[in-house]
Amino acid sequence: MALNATQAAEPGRQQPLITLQGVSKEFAPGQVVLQDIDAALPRGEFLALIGPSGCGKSTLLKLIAGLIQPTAGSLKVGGGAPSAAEGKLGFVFQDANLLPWLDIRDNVSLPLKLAGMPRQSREERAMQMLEMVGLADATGRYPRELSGGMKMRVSIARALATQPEILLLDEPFGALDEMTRDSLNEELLRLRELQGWTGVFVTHSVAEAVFLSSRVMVLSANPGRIHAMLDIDLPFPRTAAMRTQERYHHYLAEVTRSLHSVEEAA
Amino acid sequence: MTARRLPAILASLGWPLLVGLLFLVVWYAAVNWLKIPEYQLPLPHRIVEEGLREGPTLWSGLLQTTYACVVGFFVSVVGGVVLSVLLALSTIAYRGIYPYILMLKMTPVIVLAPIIIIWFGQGIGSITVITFLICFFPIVANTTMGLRSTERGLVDLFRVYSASRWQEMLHLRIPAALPYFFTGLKIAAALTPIGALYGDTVAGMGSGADAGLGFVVVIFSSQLKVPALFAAAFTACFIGFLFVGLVNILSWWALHRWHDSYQQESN
Repeated sequence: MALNATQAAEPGRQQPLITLQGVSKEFAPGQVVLQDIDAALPRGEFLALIGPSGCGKSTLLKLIAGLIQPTAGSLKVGGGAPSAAEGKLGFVFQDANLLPWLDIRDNVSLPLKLAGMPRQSREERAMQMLEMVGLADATGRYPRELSGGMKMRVSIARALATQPEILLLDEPFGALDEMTRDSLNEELLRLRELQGWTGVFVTHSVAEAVFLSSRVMVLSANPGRIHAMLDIDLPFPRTAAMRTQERYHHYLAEVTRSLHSVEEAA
Repeated sequence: MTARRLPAILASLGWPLLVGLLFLVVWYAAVNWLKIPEYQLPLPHRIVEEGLREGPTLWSGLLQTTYACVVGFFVSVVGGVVLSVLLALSTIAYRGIYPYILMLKMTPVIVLAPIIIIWFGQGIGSITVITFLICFFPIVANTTMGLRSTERGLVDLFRVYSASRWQEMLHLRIPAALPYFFTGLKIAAALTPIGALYGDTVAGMGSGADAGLGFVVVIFSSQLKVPALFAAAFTACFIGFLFVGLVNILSWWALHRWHDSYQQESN
């Protein structure tokens, strides 16, 4: 809600938060992973990246995060280079990627520690984040004592601890069972309503892409190109009840068809 | 917990005790039936007797050798860790220096000992260097391996948050390398008495209270004090237990809360 309000109040600031212009990435000469990716993400967008394996969707996310550099093209995050966007970015990795030797609270406050925030304030912030994801009573536990879903919640809390403008998620729920995945999807939307970040989300799951995003980028493989950009015109805030609605299923079918046509073309 | 653990402890102590007792029985029987002379295999009670009689010599030897072990081990750990961090920080250092570390490791210490004694003289200096040469390698090899094999995803995490090289070393690579470090430390702890005792036999000070256990053994052997020789062997074994035990406690303290090697009942 807060999100739509800002957008409506400042139509002049529709300047995209993330811009990609002709972005290509080769890992070795001739091995093109991404080719000519153009996209502009306005503030408040939630973009899902979907496509067959090898289409470079994780690579695209790493480019936005500044973890790797494009071979060609230009990429701007918040008006500057991705590497200059530190502090504005949160990243949720494929597996929870927690440090096993730190307890949950210290894991969540790690990005704050690296940014040089004093102990007291970062611990307070970590506690707030853990409360937000419903893990306030697990703070002293170690990652190995948690279930997969709980670890992922910690990982999300950690990514949100720096209060980022942009949250990048690299297939975060791929290893979880469907029930846990569904509830974490709802959780993620709730956190977005609360904090209003812009999201980019890599997934293999059509249902997840439709449920979470405002747009879906369908990529083709070898080399990775944009095959289609589909608007998911379902109102936010979205709820679990939406999963039974006809319009939701209409979009599921649309994304699925688009994915099939990618595979046929290949 | 305690109720379940006590029988487990008894069982873990009981079997070794039983085997030990059986061994003693066979020992006495063999010496009596085969009429083995004492200069070849003394009886256990004679070893205890002679051990007690040579008590002061063994005790000062034990102290001296333990001292050499502590110094040698400490130098190996500090030197080994500093070297490992250096090798992990710079690929050039790793490529340039590691082959020479291997070369040093491949050169038998026995050959180097005379040179070391020329440089460092008789006594604790040379013994420390010899101990270092024997036990620094497992520390360097394991710690370097640990520092260089940090999970890719965790490194990416630190990159996303623009961690400095130093932060990455301190908060990621070093803690992640701890299990490897302790593996090296355990091997080094078992090697330490070997280094100190060998150093003692070639570079030890052979007079009275300065004599380490290695030197005591040389003297007992030349005097054919065989039961005392056995007593010295058991005394030396004690140092090994002490070191390995301490390292195990340290390793438990550092790792048990998070590392899978100390996983109790998993959930």
